[in-house]
Amino acid sequence: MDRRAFLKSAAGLAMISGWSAAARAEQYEEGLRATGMPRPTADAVIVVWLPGGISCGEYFDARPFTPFQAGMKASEMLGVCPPIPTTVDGVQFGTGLERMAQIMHLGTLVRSLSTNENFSFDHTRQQFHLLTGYAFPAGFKAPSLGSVISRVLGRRHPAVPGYIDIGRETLESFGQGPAAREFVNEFHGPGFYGVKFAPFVVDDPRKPLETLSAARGMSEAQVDRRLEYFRNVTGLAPESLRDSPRHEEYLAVMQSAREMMDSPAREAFAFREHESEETLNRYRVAGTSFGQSCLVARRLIERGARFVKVNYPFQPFNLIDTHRMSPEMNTVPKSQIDKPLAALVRDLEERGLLDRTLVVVMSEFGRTLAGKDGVRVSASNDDLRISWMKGEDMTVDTVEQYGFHGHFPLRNNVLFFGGGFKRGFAYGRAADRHPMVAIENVVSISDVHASIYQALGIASDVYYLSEGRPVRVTKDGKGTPIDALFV
Amino acid sequence: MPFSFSGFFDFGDLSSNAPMLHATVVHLPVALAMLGLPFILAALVLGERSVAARVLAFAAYVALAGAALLAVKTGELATRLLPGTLPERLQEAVGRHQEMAEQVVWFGAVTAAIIALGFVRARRLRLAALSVAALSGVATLLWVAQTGRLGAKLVYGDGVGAPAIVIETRMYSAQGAAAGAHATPRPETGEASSDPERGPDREALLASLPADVSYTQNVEPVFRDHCYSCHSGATPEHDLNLSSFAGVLRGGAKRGPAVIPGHPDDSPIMKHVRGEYQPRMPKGELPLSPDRVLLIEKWIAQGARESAGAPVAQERVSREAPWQRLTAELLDEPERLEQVEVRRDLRYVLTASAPEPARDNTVAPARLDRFTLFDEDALRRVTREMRVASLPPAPAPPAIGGVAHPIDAFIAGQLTAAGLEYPAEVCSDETFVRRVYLDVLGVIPSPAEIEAFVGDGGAGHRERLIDALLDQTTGYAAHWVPFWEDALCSTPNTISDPQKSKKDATLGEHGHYADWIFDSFKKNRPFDLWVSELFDARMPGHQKDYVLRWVQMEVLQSAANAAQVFLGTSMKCASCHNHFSNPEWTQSRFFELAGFFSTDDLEVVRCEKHTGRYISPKFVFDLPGMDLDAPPGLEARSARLAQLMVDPLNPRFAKTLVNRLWQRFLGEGLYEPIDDLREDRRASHPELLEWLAQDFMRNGFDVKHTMRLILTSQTYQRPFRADWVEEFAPEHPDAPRYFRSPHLRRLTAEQMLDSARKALGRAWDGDARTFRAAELSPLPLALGRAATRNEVSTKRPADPAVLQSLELMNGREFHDLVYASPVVETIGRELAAQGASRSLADRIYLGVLSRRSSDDEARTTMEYLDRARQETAFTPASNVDVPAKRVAVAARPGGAGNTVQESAAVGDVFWALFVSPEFQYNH
Repeated sequence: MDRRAFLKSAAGLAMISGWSAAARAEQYEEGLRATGMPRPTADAVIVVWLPGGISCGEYFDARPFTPFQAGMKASEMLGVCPPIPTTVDGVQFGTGLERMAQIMHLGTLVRSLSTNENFSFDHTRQQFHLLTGYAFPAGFKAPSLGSVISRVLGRRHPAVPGYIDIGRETLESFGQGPAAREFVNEFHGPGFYGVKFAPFVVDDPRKPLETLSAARGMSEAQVDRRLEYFRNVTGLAPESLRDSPRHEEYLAVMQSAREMMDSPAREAFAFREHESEETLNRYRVAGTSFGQSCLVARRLIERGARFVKVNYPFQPFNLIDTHRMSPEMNTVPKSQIDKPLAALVRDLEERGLLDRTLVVVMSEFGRTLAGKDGVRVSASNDDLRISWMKGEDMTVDTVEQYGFHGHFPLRNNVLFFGGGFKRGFAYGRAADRHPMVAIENVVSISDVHASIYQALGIASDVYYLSEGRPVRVTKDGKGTPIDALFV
Repeated sequence: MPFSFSGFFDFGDLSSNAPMLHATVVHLPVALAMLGLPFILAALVLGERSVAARVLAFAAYVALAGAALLAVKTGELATRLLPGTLPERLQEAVGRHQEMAEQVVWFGAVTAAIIALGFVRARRLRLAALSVAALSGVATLLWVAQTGRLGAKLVYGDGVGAPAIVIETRMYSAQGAAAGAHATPRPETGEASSDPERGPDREALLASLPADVSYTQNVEPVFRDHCYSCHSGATPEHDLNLSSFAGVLRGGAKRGPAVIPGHPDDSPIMKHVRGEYQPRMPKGELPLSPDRVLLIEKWIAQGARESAGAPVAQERVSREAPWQRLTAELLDEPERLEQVEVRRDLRYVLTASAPEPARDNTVAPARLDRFTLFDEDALRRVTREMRVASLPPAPAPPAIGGVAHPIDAFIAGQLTAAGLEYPAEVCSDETFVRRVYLDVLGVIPSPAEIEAFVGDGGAGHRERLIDALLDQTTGYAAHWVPFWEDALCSTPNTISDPQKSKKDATLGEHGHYADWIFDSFKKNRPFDLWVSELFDARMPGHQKDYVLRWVQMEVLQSAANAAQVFLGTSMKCASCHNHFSNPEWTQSRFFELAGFFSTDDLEVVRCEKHTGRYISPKFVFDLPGMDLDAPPGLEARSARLAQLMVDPLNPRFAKTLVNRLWQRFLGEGLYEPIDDLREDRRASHPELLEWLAQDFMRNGFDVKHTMRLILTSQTYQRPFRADWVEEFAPEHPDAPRYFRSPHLRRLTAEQMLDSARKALGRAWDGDARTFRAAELSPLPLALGRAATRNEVSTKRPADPAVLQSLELMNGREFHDLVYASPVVETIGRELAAQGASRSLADRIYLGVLSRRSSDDEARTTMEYLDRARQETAFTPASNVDVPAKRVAVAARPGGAGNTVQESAAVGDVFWALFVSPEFQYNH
């Protein structure tokens, strides 16, 4: 068969199936949308990640305080801390978020995020869902928000990494082993996009990325001398190799890695030298580096970062994972989050950055109020769980029980500041009665992601190919941006 | 049962039955070893008054030595009767058993001798002797127990010397069926004489039974009384449901059909009822009364009718398991039956000589010539052969002058047809040796290995090297592990939350396969058998975590994963709705496949909406001659699935694998994308793909065979030429690709790090290989080694990335690996002593890039070394405080001394060459 005949027969095959034509009709290309992307209202994003599952009633959607009384009915428990007013009518935060309450007029609160799927009651798997937009297991290596955004939009500044992930604490110290850590790495990571779109992970906000500086014992001059030799000898490599675009591409990446060493991003970490004492104090909270992470995030955005994720530590049965009435769980996290987060939003606003920078505050799920400690219901049996969460047949006898807040993905809150989102706005509502599920304007994780993408000018059905199959940035491309949230 | 002395002493005709004799004698040493020990202990406790205890202990051990000797002798007699065709494994086991038994004699004798020392008067000496004797007694007991265990395993586990091998061979013919069960004598056993169903009452009992026994009228009530509590209902034990006639014929998961019409002695149900199979049935109850046992026996002997007057039940020959299939084939060919009988417990094939002429319509027992104890692999191989024989003829390689290798012929054929030139050139020996080492062993050759190959310039030296490398089984296997670990979602640890129930904790756990993959490839297990182990719960090597069965979602994922990896067929889209882009895969077709991974039919959930529609499983490809439905019961289902997946007539299984091999060695598959084989798109060389797949199957699914075929082709050995590389582009899927040049292939993290370690004189082989590392550090992660494997990956992203370059440039791990290595320090010392030279530059080039330097490269390198040794004020990693766990690999004490600068300069050169694209790609 000659070439033309071959082509003809191949084309014939394609025609018969009609697939080829259908594919063309779709009019997409990887990472693009031929029919146009939405107009962006933000250029950069800071995701403030509060893993552990925030108790909505104690954080951003407070209810009347019902103090503990032995023998009280669980269904009568409305709130375990007094609510405080915010700068927006009808929005009440829990005590301990006084500073956040003072900036609510700068943001949009979504009170009606709800998920009910397999494993949505499970911390790490629901975190996977929140960060990738796909329920676990997704059937492919799902990329996280940061990798998606930095892939579609590319870097904002050529020498500042597109996705920087700050202060993520590993789970190892909680007996979870390397596999748990690696699983967490995975859903904060690039998925099938590969290392090219992996986050630059910064463990400690006070130290810049290790690999942006020469290895210990080497000076930058030596690095450059070595690199010069490298360029010389690679230039002498066998000609056939040098002809390959791969060769060229590889050397270009080496070059941009070297440029990255002079990245303004490095400077962002030298905040102690360059920020005023007043600013440092504004973010500083004793006992946590979360404040510094927020400050570094602001400095990175100023220097051209596209996507920065600031992580609050995740410690099972501690901090935000509120399973007990105790200062560590009920007051410490709020006291550590309140000040720096408010400082970050105000700081961005004062510097005129908030208009084009979107700050998103989110957690994997909300929590029920009272539960029976020690009662664990299989994750597959959601109906039973929910009936148990109504608390009608349950009396609260101990403080332990009063403070036992179960995992509850049917009500979750997300906060948005800037980046084209409305100011001083609350969307959706959760029921007043237990189990207080989201009941009004209920939105899905896909919708939340679609809204974030919309703000950045990314259509929710943009795709990249994995194993020849289009994988879209929201699940099956079906995320719908929540128009009401935008200005 | 009343105690009978005559029964107790009736050993049968022992002299003519050595195995029986052995079996009788061997228990004596066991008893004596147990008996002797308390006597020694008593002697120790009783002190001087213990004369009687000492005498008894001494006697016991002397007797033990004697009994053991007797056991050894009878054992020897018994071994002589074993067939010469016993597999090597079993021969070895028999030898070991024999050896240990001989040692038991010595144990007994020595213990007795030590006890004898205990008769001295001196108290301390006596105490010491008895203490030692006690220890020796314990050792003896353990030794006897271990010997016994080994023997028992041989007899009961493997059937060596068991009554099973002296069974009579009988023809499966109409005559045989009519003759009934008792035309042939059974070996007498001690139990037999006290068994009324065999005793003189037998005839009387038989006479009392109904003339025509049938399932509904006679047998079912017996089953109902004794069996239904376990063997009926929705989930009967072992999937054996005796509450319907069909259920009886279908049988259970473990033994297959419960009855073999006409052959009560071979019918599993009779064996269970009689206690020949353990447990004796009904389990936990008294044995069935003799009349009931005889009733079942008679029913089967009469042909196991459903109801009176119904036709004799046909033996149900299912294709559930390959060995049953084998039975079926043999039944279709009565002439072969004269030589072969397949034992109904499906563990032996007996080859017998032709039977004596039949008299009185009975069949005389045939003489046993040979038996083959065959493992399930052998049975599967036999089945596979039969199936391969029915493949359509493979396309013939086009006859093209001067092109001998079939692969090259197909490639040349396409080029010629397109009017393009068929390249004549092959790559240089240096290029070839590096390429093939990386492809077979996953590591670059050492300078000595390069010299050895290039020095062997004789004809066929490339073939010799390929063979030699394929024979390096550990390296070969090590290089395969990462690929299959990625593809099978192998995860070493459970993603566990200590607060979770076990069920939750193991979710997403697909099993850990590194060792299994390594061992299987080391042994070069046939690919189809290896894959079967993932699915078939009946196989000894079954990997039970691969097929996840929990919630519907997991079932669908299991099915989609298996389809992707082994059928090269992407069905994931079809798990929620009809495949968007591939009309081949409707959702219901996908569910038909997924049903094989589930206990029940699957409900169609369309885009998260339950439809209430259930789909029965059916294999997705029509394989002529195969049963495509799923049998009930998970085990049976898994076995059927395994068989259908690997069946030679399955149009995708072998093709997917050979396409992967092609991609692995040439850079791209003949079919692309490799995981999306579909009817509406063709391969670049469809005939070659078909030919390779058939050749692979006809050669026993031997991966090494096909690898060898590809590696020996000129197509594989072409030099890399950038302008001849045709990359598959999804937007032009049908654009021709001719494979005139291999693609550049990025080294995997494992290839890169193992090779670097080898070049640096560090430990890189065996346990030091990167794939063995349980914990991931930033370097391998940046190079693309998978952090977790929750999802299938058959191709790692190979794009260079800034993060990766930074890790290589400034990461501590790679820095320490290179600069503090033995080779860098050695060459550094030479540089200090002799200055830079061409030979020094060549050594570095040969070590890293597997070739000598060009003049320009040598000059550049020498200049750099001379300049750098003057300028560097450098602290090599070995002199700074490296974290404790890295010390072992990073630090090398001494030697560096005043050659620090030189080592750093040499390290720079190594670094630059490692990081160069020439090293980072296989070309």
